[in-house]
Amino acid sequence: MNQERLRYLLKRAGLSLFSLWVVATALFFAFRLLPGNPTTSVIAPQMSASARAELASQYGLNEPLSVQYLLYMKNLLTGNLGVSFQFNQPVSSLIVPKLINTLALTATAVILAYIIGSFVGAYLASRRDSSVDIYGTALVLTMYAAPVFWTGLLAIMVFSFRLDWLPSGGIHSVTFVADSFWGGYLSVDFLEHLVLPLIVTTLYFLSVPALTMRNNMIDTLDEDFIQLSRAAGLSDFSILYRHAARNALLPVLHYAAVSLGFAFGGSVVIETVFSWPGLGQMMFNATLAQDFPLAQSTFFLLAALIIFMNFLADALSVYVDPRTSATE
Amino acid sequence: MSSDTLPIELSQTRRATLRRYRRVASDVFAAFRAQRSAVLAAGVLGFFVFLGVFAPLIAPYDPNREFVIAGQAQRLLEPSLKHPFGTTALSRDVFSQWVYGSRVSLIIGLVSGLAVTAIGTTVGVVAGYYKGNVDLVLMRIVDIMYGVPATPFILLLVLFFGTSLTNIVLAMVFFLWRTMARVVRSETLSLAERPFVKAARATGASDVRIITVHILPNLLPLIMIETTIIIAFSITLEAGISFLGLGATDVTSWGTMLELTFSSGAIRSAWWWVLPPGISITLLVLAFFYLSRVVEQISSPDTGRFEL
Repeated sequence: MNQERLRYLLKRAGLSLFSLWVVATALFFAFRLLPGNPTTSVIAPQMSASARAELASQYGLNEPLSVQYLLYMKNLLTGNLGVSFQFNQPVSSLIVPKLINTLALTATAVILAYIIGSFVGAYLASRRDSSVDIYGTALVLTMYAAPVFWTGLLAIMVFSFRLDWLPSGGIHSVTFVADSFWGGYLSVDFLEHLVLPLIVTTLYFLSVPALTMRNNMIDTLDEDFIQLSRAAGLSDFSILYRHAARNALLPVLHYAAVSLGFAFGGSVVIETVFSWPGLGQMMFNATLAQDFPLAQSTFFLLAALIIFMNFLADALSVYVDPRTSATE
Repeated sequence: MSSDTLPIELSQTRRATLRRYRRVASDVFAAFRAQRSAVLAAGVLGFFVFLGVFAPLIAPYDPNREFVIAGQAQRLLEPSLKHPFGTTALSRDVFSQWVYGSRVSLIIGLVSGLAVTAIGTTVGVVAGYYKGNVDLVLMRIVDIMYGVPATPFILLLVLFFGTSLTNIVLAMVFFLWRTMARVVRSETLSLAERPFVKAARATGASDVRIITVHILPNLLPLIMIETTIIIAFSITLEAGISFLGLGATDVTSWGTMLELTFSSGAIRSAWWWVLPPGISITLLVLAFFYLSRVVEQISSPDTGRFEL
């Protein structure tokens, strides 16, 4: 890796850290100063006097705002996320299982979407302007235009309530008992619950890679080396998937990281539809329940994931296309 | 009216310019009509605009009226002549709600689309034209905005400031302008280096004149493409916000309709309540996607690309 790339990456990393700081600061002020914020009842009414005093000192709620801010940053940096009001447990122990649930659904869906979407896009480009391309593109676009919560509702309506094939939500049946923590994720019961949300989310995320791939393939197929391969008598299949697709795929990688970040941000919607106990749902419920240590932490974690994914996207595109660092 | 009969005396060059504009306009219109998908998209959009504008005349009932016959609430009735799309779990008329719901989606799309275009274009053009420190500062702000997770933050803002249509639009615009600014800026950077801009500068044209006369018209296709996509995105986003129960409380939107189908458990049976709002959102968003594509095809016909 040459000097220029390294400098570019360091610059992006610095910017990511700066963004993270901005988000943290924005959260601090959002949860303390905005009207109707959860801290108007920062200390849950049902708590004992000593617990209240302890919390107040932990968050420095009696201190001036500047001291509160420093304390907040210190807690954040040392990973001390506080105790949830609702569950009376350390926030970090609540968050980890939800994070795994979100990753199991969202990351799997995005990865699947990018693998399938790339093939779909390459195929549509190879049939450019044929009716397969026109209707295929229309279908891909429709899946993107349809609100994902609505397709989720339809899926539940048809496959859970009409046909009774699959469960309508949640991550396990009520009667299910996992023999171990990871055993819960490897069970048939979990997979049954995963199928419907996974298909709906994958179809939704399929459109971006499919259309990006289609655009890139159309550009690539016009290039000289493709004409040359054609002149050399290579088969269409070999030209399409071995030569053109390889070149067209690289920019798609960039979008994969961005999409994953976006998917984390949007996870609250899909997790609500399928009652999927993930990070997005937890963030939303915690905010509604005015459980502010939990809401703030889940929010920050989601933001950190998104910022990290954006950085990863930048890093990938420099690695893949050295021209990126030169243009910035 | 031909240019010769205009009541105002025009110079020779102005008349030539006017003729050229008219020719370009008729070319664009012809190219538009040649695209079946574009005509279809315009038709769909026209249909929903018609529905929204004439909602009070089209909707047979008040969308909030609860139907009670002989003390019996008319809950979840199947479609009939009296209720073409059936009734909701609160015994309201789905058809009337659906008609009025088109207003919310269109207004949200239009207002946030225009606001984002105004802000994004201004920031982008200023950054791309003046370069230097102005560009650096503005683009750093855009970079940071990209780092902020939009969907959760919009939810948070709406939650804190209250669930009204205005707040939803404000929260969305606050985050959506960033893409527009970035795209417009990079195009302005390249336009500013073109010979015609340099020529204009050499003849002593002011910055304002160069921007408005030479740069903005060339940005127009790009701006139109981005605006249609922003509109489409705003419509889906509003539906999502409403679905989470943070929608405007004073009006019925397609998103709030869907929220109620879900929270009332009516998706078990009431397909007539679930389908109309969802299909409408999909069609409207799809129409804007195809309109953005036709702009792209007219402005650069040979690419065949489909941007999102």
